[in-house]
Amino acid sequence: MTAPRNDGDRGSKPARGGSERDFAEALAQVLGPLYRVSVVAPDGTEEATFGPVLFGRVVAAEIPLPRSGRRLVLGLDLTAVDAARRTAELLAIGWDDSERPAGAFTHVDQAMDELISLAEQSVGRSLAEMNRLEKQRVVRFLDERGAFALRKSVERVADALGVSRFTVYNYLDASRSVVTESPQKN
Amino acid sequence: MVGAILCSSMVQVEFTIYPFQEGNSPPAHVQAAIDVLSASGLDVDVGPLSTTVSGPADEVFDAVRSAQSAAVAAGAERIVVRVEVIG
Repeated sequence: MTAPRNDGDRGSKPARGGSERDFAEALAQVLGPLYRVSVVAPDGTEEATFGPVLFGRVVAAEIPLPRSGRRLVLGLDLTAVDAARRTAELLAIGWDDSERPAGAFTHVDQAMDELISLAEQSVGRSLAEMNRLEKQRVVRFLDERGAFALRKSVERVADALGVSRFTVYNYLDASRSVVTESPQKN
Repeated sequence: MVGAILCSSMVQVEFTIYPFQEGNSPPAHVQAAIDVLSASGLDVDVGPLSTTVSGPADEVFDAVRSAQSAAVAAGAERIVVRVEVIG
């Protein structure tokens, strides 16, 4: 799956500087599936390409290879970065807030703790010190950001609020159904 | 009788009364239940998502029954209850 795809030589001549090709291939392997690495001849001919075919918005960097006059072109698919950003935004609250702490998520396992601490920062006090309304809003806040899809999230929030997991599930059930029921009822 | 066995048990009953309304003080249909429980002298904890009452099973069940009636009279539409034997 991560094996680089080799488009082969584009020119009629066999590529000289095999070590440059080998370097490009090894580089593509190290960089992973989001990057494409090409060896480009002085006349602009793409002699060898490793990595995925890139679609959409692509950003590229060129690295000269002085000995042969060729250059390496590194391409990155920005649409993949956009997709990664959307995923991160689903996990993160206050992504655009200036109050967001400098530390980003280091492990998805920690995401729940991060979300709770971000919620605490947005309210200005710890969950234990929050009043009734603030606690209720934090739960809704977390739910709206998909926090309860995370492992152990209900347990974590229930412990923090001093209620049972049952109650949190129950509350989520009720608060989610209110959204769909409200247009017809009340 | 089963009731006789339960009488010696300590239980914790936690319930959430719907419709759920966000706010710093509980809505009237929740407050009605809390008032009944508070008058019982049992240990009552009013949480952000639920209310919990603990004590001897027979006393707790009696109090919860009265509290539920008060809640329904005050407009409760659904009461979700969890009972746990704690000793």
